[in-house]
This record gives sequence, C-alpha cells and structure tokens, in this order.
Amino acid sequence: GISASQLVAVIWDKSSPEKALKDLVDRLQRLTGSEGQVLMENVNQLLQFNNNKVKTASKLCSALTLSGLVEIKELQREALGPEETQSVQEHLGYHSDTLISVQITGKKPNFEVGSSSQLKLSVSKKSSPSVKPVVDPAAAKLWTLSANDMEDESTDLIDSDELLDPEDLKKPDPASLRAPSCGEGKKRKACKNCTCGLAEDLEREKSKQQSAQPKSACGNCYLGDAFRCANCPYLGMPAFKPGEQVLLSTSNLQDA
Amino acid sequence: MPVPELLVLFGSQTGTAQDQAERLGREARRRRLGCRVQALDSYAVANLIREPLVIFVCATTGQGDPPDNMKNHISQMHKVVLRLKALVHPLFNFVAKKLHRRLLQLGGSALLPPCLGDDQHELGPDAAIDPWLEALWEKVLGLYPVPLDLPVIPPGIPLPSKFIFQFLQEAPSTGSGELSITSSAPQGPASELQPFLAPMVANERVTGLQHFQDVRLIEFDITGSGISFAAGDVVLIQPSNSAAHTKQFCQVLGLDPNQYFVLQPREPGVPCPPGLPQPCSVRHLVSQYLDIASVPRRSFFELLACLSPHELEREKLLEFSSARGQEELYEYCNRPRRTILEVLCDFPNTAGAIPADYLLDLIPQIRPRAFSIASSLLAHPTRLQILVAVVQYQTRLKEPRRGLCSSWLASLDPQQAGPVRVPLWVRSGGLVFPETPGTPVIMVGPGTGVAPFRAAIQERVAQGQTENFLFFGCRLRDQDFYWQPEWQKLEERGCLTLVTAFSREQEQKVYVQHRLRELGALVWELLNLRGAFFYLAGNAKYMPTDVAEALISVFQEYGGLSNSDAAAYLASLQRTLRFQTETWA
Repeated sequence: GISASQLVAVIWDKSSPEKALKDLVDRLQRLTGSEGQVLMENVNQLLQFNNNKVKTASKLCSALTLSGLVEIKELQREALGPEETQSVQEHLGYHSDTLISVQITGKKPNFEVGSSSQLKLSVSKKSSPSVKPVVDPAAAKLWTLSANDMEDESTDLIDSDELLDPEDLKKPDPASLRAPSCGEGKKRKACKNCTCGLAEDLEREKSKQQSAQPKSACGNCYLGDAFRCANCPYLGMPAFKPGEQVLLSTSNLQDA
Repeated sequence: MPVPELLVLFGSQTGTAQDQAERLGREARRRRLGCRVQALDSYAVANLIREPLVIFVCATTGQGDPPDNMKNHISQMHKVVLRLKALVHPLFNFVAKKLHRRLLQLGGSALLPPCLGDDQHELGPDAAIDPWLEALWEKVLGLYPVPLDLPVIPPGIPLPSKFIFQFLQEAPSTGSGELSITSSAPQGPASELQPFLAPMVANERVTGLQHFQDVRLIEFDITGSGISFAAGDVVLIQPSNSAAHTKQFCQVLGLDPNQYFVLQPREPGVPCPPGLPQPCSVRHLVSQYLDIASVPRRSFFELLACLSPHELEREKLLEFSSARGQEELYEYCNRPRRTILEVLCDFPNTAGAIPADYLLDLIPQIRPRAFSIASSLLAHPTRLQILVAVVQYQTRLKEPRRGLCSSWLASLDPQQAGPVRVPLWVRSGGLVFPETPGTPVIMVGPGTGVAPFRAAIQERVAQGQTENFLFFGCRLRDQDFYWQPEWQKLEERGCLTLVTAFSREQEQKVYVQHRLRELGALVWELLNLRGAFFYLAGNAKYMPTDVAEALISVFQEYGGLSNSDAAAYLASLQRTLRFQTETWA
C-alpha cells in the first residue's frame, strides 16, 4: 500500500542481502516519487542508544518532525502477525511481542534561505506565572553526571561519526555558495554626489554606449575611502579637510 | 513577570563564533530577553536540562575538530554525548551537525533546524546566519512576547553601555595609574593578569641592512621575576600602541589623555576588566588597553552607526553593518586591513561624538603575542632572548601595514635614559625535547624558525648532549644567517652538525628539504636505528608540507618503504612525539 509522496523508512542490518535491499529501495523510490522519501535506518544504530527512542509510533512521528518534514500524519497501524514477528526476529535479531506496522505520511517543506512560516503555537492569553517547566526525571537522570563518571575513562563513549548520515558528508553545491545578485566581477560604485564622472560612466555602460573618459579629480574626495568612487586618485589616503592641499606624489597615482 | 532567559553557549577558536554569540546576545537584549553568553567550557553540562532555551554557536576548525574551549567540555559531555575523532577530509559544520543530532537524541527539541554558516560562501557565514536569525527571533518572540511597556529596541538605537566612566576632577595623588599593573614585589608567578615588567637590555638588528626584513635579537632581564622556562617554551608579550597613534586617537575623539576616570559597571555583578587599573588615565586606556590598531569587525560598525549624529556618515555605517553591505565592508575594511583608528579618521563627525562610556563596547582589548624563547637559562641564567621579525607590508592603503607587537618592540631603545620595561609571562610551548641521554635530535628551522632550536641546542650542550643536527635555511649567508659565529664554535667543539641551505646564492632555489633528501641516508639511520627525535619550526605556509614530503621520500629511498608504509611510519613518529612541529603564520 505504498503510494506517491509518502515517507518510507526501511530498517536494515548487515544480514540484509545487498541486491534485495537495493531492489526494494528502487521499487519504493519509484512508488513514492519525487515528493516522497525513502529513509534507510540501520537497526544497530537505533538499538544502540537504548533509550526508547523511535520504538513507538509517536516517537517516530516526532523524529520525522525534527528531521524537517511537515504535515506528519499517522495513516494506519496494525499489529504484526506471528509470521511477521518471527521474520523480524530472524532477520534483525530483535524480539518483541508488541510489534506493529505503522503508516505515516509527511511532506518535505520548501524552505528557502530567508523564508519563514508561521509556527502554530498556542500562546495562551492569560499571563501564566512563570513556572519552571517540569523536567522529565528520566531525561534528567541521563544528563546528571556524577563527578566520578566525568573522570571515568572506561565509560562507554559513542562514536560521533555515526551521528552523521550521507547527506551530511556531501560537499555543498558550489552554486549555493554564490551571492544571489553578484555573478560577474566586483561592482564599481559611484559616490553619492559624484562629480568625477563615474556615475555617468555606469549609466552609459548600462545603456550599452561607449563610456567617456572619466574626468579628473572631483570635489568630494576629501571624505575618505568609504565615500570615494573607484576612480578617485585619493583612494588609500585618509580623509582630509575640504580645500586642504593634499599632495599626490607620482607614486600615489600608481596602483598598489 | 520575570524576564525570560536565553542561554547562548559558544565554542570558538579564532573568536568568530564568540563574535556571533555576542551578537546574538545583543539582539536578545534588544528584544528584552535576559541573555547569558558563555564559553562552553565554562558551563556545567549537567545544568543544560534546566535551561528553557539554549542556542549553541560552534565552530568547526582545522580538520573538523571542535574549538579548544569546546574540547574539554565535549569530552565530558562525551560520557553522554559523543566522541570526536580527527577527520581527514574537509568537513562542513560537522561539529554543529553532530551536536544537533545528539541533543535531539537526548530529548531536546529543536526550535529551528541548525544554521550552517559557510565561510566559503561569497558573503561569508552571514549569508546563512542573517536569515536564520530572523526566523529565530520570530519563533522566540512567539514563545516570549515582548512586554507591552518595554518594546523592542530598534536597530538604530544603541544598547546601554556595559560600563560608565566617572571622570575625576583631579589626577589621583599617588599617580598609580601607569605603574599599578605590576609592583616591585610580584605576587606569584608572572601571568596574563600580572605580567612581569621585564627591562629590555638589548635590541639588536641581526639582518644585513640590504636585507628586505628587519629582524631583531631582543634580550630581557628577568632577575627577580620567578620566571623559569625550558627549551621549546614560549613567551607572551603584551604590546602597547605608539605614542603617535595614542595622540591621534585622543584628538579624533576629543579626549584629554591626562584625565583620570573610575569605571562603574552598569549592571550589578559584572566585574570590571582585570587589565585596567582603577583609577585609570585616558592615556593608559588608549595606549595599553584599547586595540585601536586592530581591524574592526561588523559589530563595530553596528554600534558606531547607532552612535552617529551625522546623516551621511550614519548612512554609510548602517550600510556597512547590514547584510547587503558585507561585501562592500570587506572591500573597505578587511581586504586592505584598515584599522579602527583609520576608520574613525574616515568618520570624523561620528568619532567626535562617541561617548566615553561606549569605548569598551566598541574597541576590543589588545591581545598578547607569543614568541618562541630563543635562549636557555643554562647558558644565560637571568636572561630571556627572542628573535623578532618586524612585520611590515603594503596593501592598497598608502600607509604600510605594521605588526603591532613587532613594531612596538623594534621602536624601544634600551640605551635611552629610563629603563624600558616590557610586560611578559611564559607558558609551555609545543616542543618537548627528549630526556633520555644519548638521544640524537634533528632540527629543521629555516629563518626565524631557528629560534626555539637555538634554545634547545644551548640547553642540550650544557647538559652534555652533543648529538645535535640542525638544518638551517635562509636567503643569503651574509644577510640573515642568524647566530653563525655561535654555530661555528659549537661545530668546532663537536657539539653540533650544521647543514645550511642558502636559497638565493645560486641560480636555482635550494631549501632545507633539498638538504634533507641529500642526507637521507643519515636521516634514516638516525630515526630508524638511533631513535632520534625530529623537529620542525618556522613559517606555516609551504615549508612544513615540503619537509614532510622530503621525509616520506627519504623513508622510501633509504628505508625501502612503500608510499603508504612511509606515511604510516611518519604518523607513528608523530604519535610517539618523535616528530614535532611548531609553525606560525
């Protein structure tokens, strides 16, 4: 009962034959189409943490939400029959009497950089007294580290690399690293009250005519580099008082 | 209703993540949220669960490693969280991704997907961070709406300054300002908080006058300081701004250098900066504390824009602090390495209107600089020597760029009337020399890289260890061949084997790595049969890679190892500290 734009999670381990797995994934991907997604989860990774993560349908729903999917809905659930339970035990080495199969649908959101969406939070109208949120004692226990534990070298460490999935290891697409507007070289800007002709140059370039030679030193160059145009002969020198005589030696007129 | 609390934890290596974290703190305070900004290693992990809202700002450094102030902390968190291995290929925000995943696993809920800033983007990490921050504040204000009587402080209005300057009518009678950094009787070993004011006794140029670079051999007297060090250790020096720059800064801001003030924190419980005496003179603040020769960050322009009364200047400053203006800011400021002082001179109307109260919010503190110690206490008991290349280069600014510390040290004259004192302290360096007698040592130190080896050789010779092999490279034997007479005497005594490479004395370039290959048989024998230790020090750019490559080829040619076995052998030498490097940019 797989259909387009659904999210399918395939739980596998080393014993799953590679070709069969690949065939299954191909079939699922064709069925779910471009809107849906097929997730591969290694059962050993899931079991390793032993903290009841993703062992219930509701936890799976919240895991999907946190992965960035929206409109998560549980479609149906049913308990596994005895044959199916047996099969799970054989292939995955996992035994339980309460296995269920769950169908959940979700959608990939289209988050572009800079887009925003309304978060449906129920902001209560009355100003409730600020009560410290109740801390789940199991979670608190997980966080609490005795001084001994901190020093204990033999306490099991988790290999952080397993926290990364193939998506994470991908290099960013060079196209995504470009500034949106600037595809060509650096922009030449004219200063605000440009009298040296650069502003006119840029206008003319825009209308695809030959640019005239820029005029010589304008009257606004005393303002400092932040306000000077790209042609200014005083570029690289500090600001000075208007009308002040600032000598440009021949070396100043060369590019650095 | 109590103020909602946001916690921002940062793991920062070069200060960039810290800068972003502090920016988050300011934006939070504009929205009337309580906010604490702390380094990860100063926060107790176990308390995380009680925090309602936490933002982690972490850098991925080097090969995907966490920054130093996360390292210890992460390894504690590792009991619960994760262990980080050194990784080989370039990694993209791995630290942040891993942390996010793990926090989710531990029951945290993400308000937003993590923001992954990439400094390879044309506009830098801000390209990703700016829109993410907008989304963040929208969500946070959904949770903690701004109270009606205290609206959001809009971007153009400055936040209250951290400190208040209370100017004194008269100079304090004791005139303690300048000298109170240290007293004649030091309490405890010299440290960053209490540097030792060491008299400079020698400041000698050791490169030929034709040579492109001015390199100094500088000697300090450390009698009575309690300072002790071994070869391979490092000295930290706290430089000052020049008198000319100090004067110019005071002029541009309209400050009286002779005035004294006392600092008051605006919020209770905030400590005053430990590096400043109280009361303090403006001259002391500007010359010894404010880093006016540093290149300002974006936050500098943000704050300056808020303080500007001048329309034209304010408009430009706002542009420089906006997301769109970052490219232009890079061209104006970062690329030419324009300093805070130079920027203020370009915005004179704004500079003249800066209230003194904001000086410490605007301008960071001068950072100390580290130098390899170039002498051994066994050869010079009360002295400390360093080799300093004076940094000077040109960008498109007419005024050349100068290294603050190297220029300042070069300008000091020990021959002058009063004693010239330099604040300094030591710390363990990256190089450790073998204690077992009879262990040969191979040192590769071209240019100023030879400095820590001069200390090591002096120390080993004094201890009777005579198997010292030094590979030294420089441009010309009569221009930058540091300590040539000293090496000659040691060779005559049989305490040193010196191999030189003068890169510019012949048509083709000859470097230390060429010499290593030429003497490959000896190098292999020393490393493989005699258990020698190998050291490399100097410029970080190409030399370390070239030397490592030369070693690999020596292992292959003289040891008969395959390429991968040679690389594995080098890695094993590194693990057992028999291959050590100390390089600098």
